[in-house]
Amino acid sequence: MSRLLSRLISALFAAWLVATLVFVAVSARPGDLCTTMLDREVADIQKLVDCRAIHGLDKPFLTQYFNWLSGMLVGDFGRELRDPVKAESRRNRNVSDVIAPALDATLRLGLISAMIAIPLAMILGIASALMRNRWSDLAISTTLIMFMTIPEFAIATILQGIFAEWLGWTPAVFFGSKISNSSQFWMIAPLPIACLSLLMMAHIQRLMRSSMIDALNSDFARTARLNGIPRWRIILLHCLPSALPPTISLSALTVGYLLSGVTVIESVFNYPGLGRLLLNSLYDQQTYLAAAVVLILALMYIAINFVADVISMFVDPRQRGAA
Amino acid sequence: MMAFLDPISYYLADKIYYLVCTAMFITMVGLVVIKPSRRLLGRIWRHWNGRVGLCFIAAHILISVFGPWLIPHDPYTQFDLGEIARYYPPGLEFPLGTDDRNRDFLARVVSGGRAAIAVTCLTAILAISWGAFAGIFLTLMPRWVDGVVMRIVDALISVPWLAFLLLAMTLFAGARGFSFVPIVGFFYSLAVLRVVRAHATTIVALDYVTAARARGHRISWIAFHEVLPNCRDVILVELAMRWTWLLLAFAVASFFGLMVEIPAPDWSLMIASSRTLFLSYPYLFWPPVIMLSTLVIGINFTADGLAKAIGLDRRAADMV
Repeated sequence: MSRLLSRLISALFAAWLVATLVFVAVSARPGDLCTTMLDREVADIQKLVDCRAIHGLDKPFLTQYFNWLSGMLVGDFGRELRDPVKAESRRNRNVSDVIAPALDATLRLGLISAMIAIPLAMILGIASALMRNRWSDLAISTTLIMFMTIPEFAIATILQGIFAEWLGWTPAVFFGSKISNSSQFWMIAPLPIACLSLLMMAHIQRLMRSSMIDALNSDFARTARLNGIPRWRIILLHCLPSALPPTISLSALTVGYLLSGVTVIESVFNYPGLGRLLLNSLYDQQTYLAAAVVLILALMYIAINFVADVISMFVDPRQRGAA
Repeated sequence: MMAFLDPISYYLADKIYYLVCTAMFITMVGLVVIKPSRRLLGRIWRHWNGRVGLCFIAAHILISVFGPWLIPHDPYTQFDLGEIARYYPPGLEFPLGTDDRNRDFLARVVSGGRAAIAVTCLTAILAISWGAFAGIFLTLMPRWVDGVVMRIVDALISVPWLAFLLLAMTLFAGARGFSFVPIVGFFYSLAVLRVVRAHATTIVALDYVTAARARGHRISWIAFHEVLPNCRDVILVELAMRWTWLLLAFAVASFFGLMVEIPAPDWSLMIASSRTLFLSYPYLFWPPVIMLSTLVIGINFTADGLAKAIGLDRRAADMV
């Protein structure tokens, strides 16, 4: 329990530190939200002063910081806009309103590919551990490593070429600004999901394979075998629980790596998720929006790793005690 | 908006690339000639992935050192081929055809890894030296310093590297060319730091370090004379492994148009521009993909074989 608490505290600390760093980085750059928004009209001092007053940029640095931090706690990331005078322009939206659909789309994509890739990779890892050093083991490992070392945009292109252009099963890229219903999602999602899953699998499969081999060669597995316990029971009830925790924590790290990969895949498929939003906001000089996206990605990573730690604590009783 | 590898930087990268290639060629010959390293190579060769990796790397070094001499064309020259406007199919004159501006694609593929190899080599060296330095010194510091720094490292490492790179490149809008090296190098050094620190902790607990402390040596002396030599294997493997991830990272950054400016040959830029022609002109798509992935696989497998030959357990290492 104390270990759980200390993990929680360090996760919260990490979240706070990243938020602070992002805020400092964004504020330290020359110019601010208003000089970016007003663009050519920045010479008009009155407009600049008004704009800064609207967005609270005239307040002291620490006040701005606490406003930003407390705003984030309730999910208010500030506003994305160019011109405060034209309030009806479509840019004048809350950053959280822009991020919410993108976050939803990315989460769907990421969760589904993680739910496919992690169990599949674990099963493949167990399979190649049981058939170790035979050709099927070699085939599985080599194929997965190939998918890991070919850059993700090339894999995406190959899948697009085969399944979208040649076979015509799915559209190659997504048209539109956001996904409105689930049939639309399932039209576009299969290829990005396949790409993300292929990216993740190699690492998990490799670790699962070697941990499983260790577990199968261990003393307790031998004792169990000598006691006449059936082979499937040894594999599932004795070896698997001891081989799982490292694989679970690695899976969390891999999902973290995926958060970078998702940016590439989303831009190749023009999928309206966080990654595409990040790229667009950077091209568009919307630094606050970009900062919010980076922060959300980091928070997702922290949360995933925390959950993975908790899961492996439940699977493996040995990890509950030690600090 | 972004920092490019502008012509001057590309020229610099070109020179560094030649240095790296020549150094690697000499190292390759040297490794085979000198006896203890030949023994190490032999131990790497014993594992099948080490064997594949060494073959790929040797092929890449040979191609990059001797390739430009054997190919008659320059990667920049645009040929006038009469009625065929562009995408000249593979033939005797152009073994891999020509690209959208009728440049010899083989010449471009052969020299397409220059910027990537030069920049990522520098980045890997920076990341490793900084990460190893910090990791070793952290273990010799008082416990609370270690605790505070590691919490900060944990927090920083939770930012996805691509988001980190993109944000940093926008914030330092004046950064050009080699800005990839410090930005990504710093970020990757955090991962190195964790690995090296984990290994150094086991060494610092040993008696000879306690003895050195008792003799009254300074921390820097202990770090360089006692801890560092014992972390050499880990650092070596880490260098090779990080290099493969850095190559992929560079490829992604270059794919987004953040690294190399357009006329210069670069594998990921070639992939990016021939992406839409994948079905109609496959000979423009596959060669850069194959070159890039064989290099990545080569370094990765060699590092794997090296780790196995030295007897390191790298299974649970993260892939940042």
